[in-house]
Amino acid sequence: MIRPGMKILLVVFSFILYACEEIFEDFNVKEYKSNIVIEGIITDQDPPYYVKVMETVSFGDSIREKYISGAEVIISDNEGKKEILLMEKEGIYRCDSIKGKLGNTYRLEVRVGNSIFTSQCKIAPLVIVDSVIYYFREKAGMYNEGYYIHFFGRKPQTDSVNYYKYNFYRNGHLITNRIYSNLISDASSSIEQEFDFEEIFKLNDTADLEIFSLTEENFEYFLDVNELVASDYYVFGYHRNPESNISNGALGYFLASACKKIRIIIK
Amino acid sequence: MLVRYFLIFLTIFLVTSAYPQTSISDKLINVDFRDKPLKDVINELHDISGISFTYSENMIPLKARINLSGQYKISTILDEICRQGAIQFTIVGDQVVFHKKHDSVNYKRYTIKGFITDSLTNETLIGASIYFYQLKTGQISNEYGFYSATLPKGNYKAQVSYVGYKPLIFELEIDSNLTKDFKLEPEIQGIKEIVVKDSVINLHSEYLGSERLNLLESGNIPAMFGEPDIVGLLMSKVGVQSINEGTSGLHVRGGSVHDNIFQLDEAPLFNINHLGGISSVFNPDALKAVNIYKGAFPVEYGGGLASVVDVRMKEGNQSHYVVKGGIGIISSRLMIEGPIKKEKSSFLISARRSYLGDLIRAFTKESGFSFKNLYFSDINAKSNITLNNRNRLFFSGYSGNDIFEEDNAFSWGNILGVVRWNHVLNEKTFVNTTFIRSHYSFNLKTSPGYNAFTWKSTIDSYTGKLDFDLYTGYNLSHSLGAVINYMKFAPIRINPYSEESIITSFELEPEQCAVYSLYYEARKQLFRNLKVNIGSRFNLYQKLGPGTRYIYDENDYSVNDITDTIRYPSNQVIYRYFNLEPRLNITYLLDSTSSLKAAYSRTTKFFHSFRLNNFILTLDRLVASSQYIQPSESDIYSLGYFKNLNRNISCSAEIYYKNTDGITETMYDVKLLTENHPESYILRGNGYAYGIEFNVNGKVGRFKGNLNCSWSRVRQKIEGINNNKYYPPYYDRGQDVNFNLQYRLSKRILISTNTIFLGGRYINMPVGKYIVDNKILPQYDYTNLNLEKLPPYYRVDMAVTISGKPRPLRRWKGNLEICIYNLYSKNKYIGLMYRNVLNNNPDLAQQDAGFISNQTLKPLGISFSSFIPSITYNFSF
Repeated sequence: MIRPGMKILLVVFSFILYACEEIFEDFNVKEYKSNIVIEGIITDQDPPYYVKVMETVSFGDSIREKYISGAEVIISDNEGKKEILLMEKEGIYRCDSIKGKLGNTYRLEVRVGNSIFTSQCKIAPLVIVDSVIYYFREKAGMYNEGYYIHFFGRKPQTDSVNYYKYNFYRNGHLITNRIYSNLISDASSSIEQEFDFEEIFKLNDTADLEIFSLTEENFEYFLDVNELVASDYYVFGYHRNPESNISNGALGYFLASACKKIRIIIK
Repeated sequence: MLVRYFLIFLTIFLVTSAYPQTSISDKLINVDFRDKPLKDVINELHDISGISFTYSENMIPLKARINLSGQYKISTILDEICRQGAIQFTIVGDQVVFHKKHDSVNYKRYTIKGFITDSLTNETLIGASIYFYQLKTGQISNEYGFYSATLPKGNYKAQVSYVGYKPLIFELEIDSNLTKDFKLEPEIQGIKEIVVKDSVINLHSEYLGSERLNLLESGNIPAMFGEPDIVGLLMSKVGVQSINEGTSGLHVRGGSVHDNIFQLDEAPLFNINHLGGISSVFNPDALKAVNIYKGAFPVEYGGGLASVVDVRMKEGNQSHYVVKGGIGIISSRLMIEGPIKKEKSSFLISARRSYLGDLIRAFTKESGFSFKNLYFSDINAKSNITLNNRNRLFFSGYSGNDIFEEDNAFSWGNILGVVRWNHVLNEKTFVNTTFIRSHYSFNLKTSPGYNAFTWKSTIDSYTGKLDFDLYTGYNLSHSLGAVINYMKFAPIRINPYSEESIITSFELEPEQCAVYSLYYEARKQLFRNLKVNIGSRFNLYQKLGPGTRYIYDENDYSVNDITDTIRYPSNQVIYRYFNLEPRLNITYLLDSTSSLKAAYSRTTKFFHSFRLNNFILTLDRLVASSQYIQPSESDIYSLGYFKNLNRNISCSAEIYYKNTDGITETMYDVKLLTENHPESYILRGNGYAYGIEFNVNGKVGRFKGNLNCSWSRVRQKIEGINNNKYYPPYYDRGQDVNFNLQYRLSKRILISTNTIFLGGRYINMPVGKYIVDNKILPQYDYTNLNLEKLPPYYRVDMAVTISGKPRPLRRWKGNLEICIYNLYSKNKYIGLMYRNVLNNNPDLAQQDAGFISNQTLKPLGISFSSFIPSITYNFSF
């Protein structure tokens, strides 16, 4: 995210001074207020799909997540199919019978105690993948030596703006996830999109690229998430929880998406 | 609201009607004068009746004896005095003027007018005072150095004074209309200190809550990187705070950064930062006067809810050439001024350029840092032509630019131009006609490639102004004027700039608005002790086409509730708003060393500013008021007590209460920046602020100090935030102490320190955390906002100024400023971040951690604990 004002200060300060980080130990952490967190994904790939039902934990807590067992989780679609999800392990619910299909709308319902949280999401078309290549780059300027991945894609033939999310893994570990919007809404446009990933690979590394299509709502949710993560150095104004597409004040998101997974081994 | 207007006018009416027009002479008093000298009789009469007497001592036989006892009308006593002294009296207001008998038939008032200027440069002096001792009243020169005073015929002892100049005391005989220009000699710093603070000015002439900055002091306030800057000087004033290190955003009396108006030669500036706040657009070499108004606003000023900072550029030396400059660690500057035609016309050109980027590049060559450049540059230019002693023309301009290049190139800057015509219409009328153009633009050019685009956002302002200053009596003057201001905000224009770019052009609809204002203010000395300024601005605001108005079926103006859109053609009125801004400033002189002032001001802001939070310092979206977002209005009430303890020490206390309607906030800053219907993302509310401020200013021996303490409280209530309850905004700091101490070690060496203590500001801490999309996110609760405070902030800075040896025959003058910013500090956080901290050690990296016993998301305060030494050499010849 572009932040020239703060960047200028940081550039100036890092040049002349050193930054110092201090933990606010004696800081009164606000009274903890628990909130439901739901993260559900359904794709056009074969099931199973998973819905996680969690609850927020106190800010100072050493545990990172707290799962909720015994929730009632239902996924249904606009074709009339419906499945009550089974809990695979604590707080993680598995969907086996429904399969995601491009253009279909899916509905998620989660019941925890007396509260019901619902969401709907339509599977949007995915970018058409032309090719994914890798190449070697020597150390130059801001680039370090190593293998870089390059991806070419085309806009699907729709008259709307398209949104995507990319998850990028190195040897099974997530190294980056990003979102993109293809601002062109003209279907006749066949302009290629290319994406350079800044991450570096070594020989024999495995690179996995997952591409998800997003609705505008999903895109804005992830945009908010990125904003929040990027706002490290920043305490002015009002921090907002990312705007969820799940009702009744739940945090998190429900994503129904067309998905493509590509694996490359650097040789 | 009507009741308030009524009360104000009623007060004035009562005060005016209680004013004894001719009735002094009929008043009965008891006297016992037995063979008393005339001088004692006059003094006693003054004590009994409160009447003051004006006379020239060599005109009246003060030793003549008076015999009178019993109850008499004042007129009878005065007659007796006159009979003894062969003189006559005239009653002027509540004063009795004695004059020679033969004058009586010709008793008349005459006007003295002229300009007050600097004796060396011929630069006019703004706000210099001319004071008539016998009348105990005076006048202040206006923004162009012009004064006019109408007085009864007579001999007067008068004083012309101005901060930083030697006062001029002289005898003056007024027996006809006079044009007299005064030239004041600047006080030479460091050689001989003369009373800088003129007690006359402090006690009765200023607007409450206003302050004139002594620009000579700007070098004595230690600044970051030694950059001399008036914003640093402003921050040292009472009631003015900054929120963060290195930002020049000011919070004045509980106002937000957007509530201040900065004017350079009356042209509005839309961003005053250079280098993200390390320096400001005001180049001190080119400046003549800086005034800040934060309580009572003179009627000429509109638009600033919290403060107006009026900065005036020098006009250029009319008598000889002067070159002035400075070499600092991050920037250098040079100014040339001089006559075009001696005593008739002059020019000034001043330029600055910073080289911080070059230094950073030199030091970071090998690091693979994507940084390319960072600098600012600016030019001030001014010229004036004296056509004759009635007409004068001024041209001033400013152009500044900031460049920040990494992979993307950012640039932003103001350009402005002002043309002004001063005309002395007659003895008592001064007319000023001004045309002002101001332009601000922010540009971004991304790195080339398939996503290459340029982003431009601009603000344009055009102003035409006609002001009159009327001086109708020695104790009555008026200001009136008319202003037309047209503004255009073009928030975003995005265009692809290379062949391969797949970006399509995108533009947000620009907004236009016009504000038509008429204003009038009367300044009247009602009694010897009471001075009242009363007036009002009348504003008509119009939002103009071309534009689109969206119609909503719900009051929250949500995007989903748009039912219709209406297109307005060019110049058609989309929205209209009319209001009055009453202004009142009362000064009551308690005695010769203390005064009480009270003021009320209403101010209105017709557009709303929102800062894209991630940009912090450079990109604002300005939204013109519409039927959905009303203009913001502030009512400020203030009361002040001023006391001069002696010639060298003065102190003051002020309290204020401010109520603001139409405060706007947003929680969707990114959307607000990129959407055509901003009302959907703007939340509305109101707020209040109150506080108390103390100031002690003085000189003891070689020490000179200024102590400011203030306490304030700010609350706001915004529909949709904090369950619609009042909450403190983040900039509500509470306590603020600023102590500046200067010690003159020798004629050539001045040491100054600046100590700042600021109460911790409010922040909104997360209530919990959770993981989605493999990221730990903080959980916020905005139904209970800003409950936590950062710890209080302290900082001590120090500077040493060493002046070159004064040599009478050499024109070259130099001084060296050594400055240590941040000599000592505590809790000087410039920001706060959340990070996964391993084993409670924020410096521990994952790969070095070894055994991880504990990892938690922790709030970390970021501060720059090291001090910043700097050295600057200033010269002039």
